[in-house]
Amino acid sequence: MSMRSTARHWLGGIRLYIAAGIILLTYQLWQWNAITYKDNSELLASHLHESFGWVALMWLTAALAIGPAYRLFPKLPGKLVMRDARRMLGIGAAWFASLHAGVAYIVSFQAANPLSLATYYQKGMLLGAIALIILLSMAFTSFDGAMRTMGPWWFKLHRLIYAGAVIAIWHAMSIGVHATGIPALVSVIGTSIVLFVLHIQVALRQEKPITEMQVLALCLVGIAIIVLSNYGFQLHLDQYARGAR
Amino acid sequence: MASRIRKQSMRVLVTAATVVLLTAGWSSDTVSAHILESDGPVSAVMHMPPDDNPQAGKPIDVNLSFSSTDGNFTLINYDTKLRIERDGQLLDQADVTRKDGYEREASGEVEVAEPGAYTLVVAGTPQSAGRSFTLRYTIRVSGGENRTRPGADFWIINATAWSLLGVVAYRMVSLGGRYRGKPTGR
Ligand code: HEM
Repeated sequence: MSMRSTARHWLGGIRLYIAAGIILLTYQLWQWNAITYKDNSELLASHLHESFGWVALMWLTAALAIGPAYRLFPKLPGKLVMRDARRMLGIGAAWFASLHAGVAYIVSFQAANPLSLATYYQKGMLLGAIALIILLSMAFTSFDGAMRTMGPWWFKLHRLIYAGAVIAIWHAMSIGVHATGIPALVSVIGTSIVLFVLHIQVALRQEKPITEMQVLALCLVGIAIIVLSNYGFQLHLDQYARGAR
Repeated sequence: MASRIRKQSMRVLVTAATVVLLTAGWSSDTVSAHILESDGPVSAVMHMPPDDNPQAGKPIDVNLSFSSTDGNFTLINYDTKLRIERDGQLLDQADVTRKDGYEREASGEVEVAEPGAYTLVVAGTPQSAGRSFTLRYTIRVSGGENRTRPGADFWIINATAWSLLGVVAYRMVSLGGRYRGKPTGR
């Protein structure tokens, strides 16, 4: 492809603008927190990494919702644009998650030796690291070249996104200050249920017969949502009981 | 045949791994989001009510639940102090007082003026014979309500930036024709 046609290809596609959106949002989150906590760098760092963490989860949700939404409602406008956008949304999720992890670990925890941290933090961060590795490995293989080279393994790897989402939520609940509050619990669990139902509907309506692997994957994700809801609400009740004591 | 067996063992592995992971998470953390630290046989779970989010300039209420692998541990036998330090420098200290009717539940109150990362130190010295213990917890103290809300200019600039990006993206994607002849949202 010549320079000109490469430029035309990118300028006429949606991914470039999503990449610009990622940069704009990063800058805005930084600026918003820098203004809000200008007198307190400690608070700035912790609110900044919390914002990046939540935005990463939101982008992950968007990437997960596009496929089933268009399969269930094929008349929705912008189908090809959104399908093309999906991979860049995944890259966005990995980007925000990396910023979140970087600021949390390097600034808030001053790059402490993980082995010297309390077990509570070790467990939470280990879960975060697993989720981050999954998101990054998908981001680095989200190009057409990788898809061609990896063949069927590409799809297998990219299905790990579900495990990544479950582990990221588990991580947030286990370590986050806000993640076990009622607003966060209701939104995270509510969104997970909606996404889960969308995926079940897609599986039930597909033309080819549903495979054992699909049934197994859906069951596991269903169980994970129940277990995570129980975990989150238990932590909430526990904190409430301690606060009221 | 071989591939069928491989597939089935993969399935069993995936299921087993997930169940183990979920159960581990469920059973280990459900009862408490507090921080546990140990020194020899003595451990204590620390919690700062209500949400483990202490504020600078306000008393930090530190709750401690002790346990011991020795079994017969009781706080009555110890003189226990609570200290808050930063870079090894002592900033405040207090007695750890037992809760009425409990032998292993106690609390203390310290305060710091500045937000930041601190170490809470719980040190117990036996009143007669025995081994002393020191437990250290890293905590983050935040700055309370000393925040500034971004002004209207922040929102105006950012709303403009997003609108511009939206308009440019829409125009360029429509003109570019990469999705031409296919549904592009128009
Ligand atoms: C090595 C990787 C990671 C590390 C070291 C890390 C670290 C942390 C820490 C220290 C917190 C506690 C923040 C607080 O409330 O004070 C946290 C919370 C959180 N993390 Fe991570 N994280 C990692 C990966 C991830 C990933 C991959 C995601 C999402 C895709 C994520 C999403 C979140 C969310 C949503 C919270 C809750 C924030 C809140 O309660 O306000 N993290 N993480």
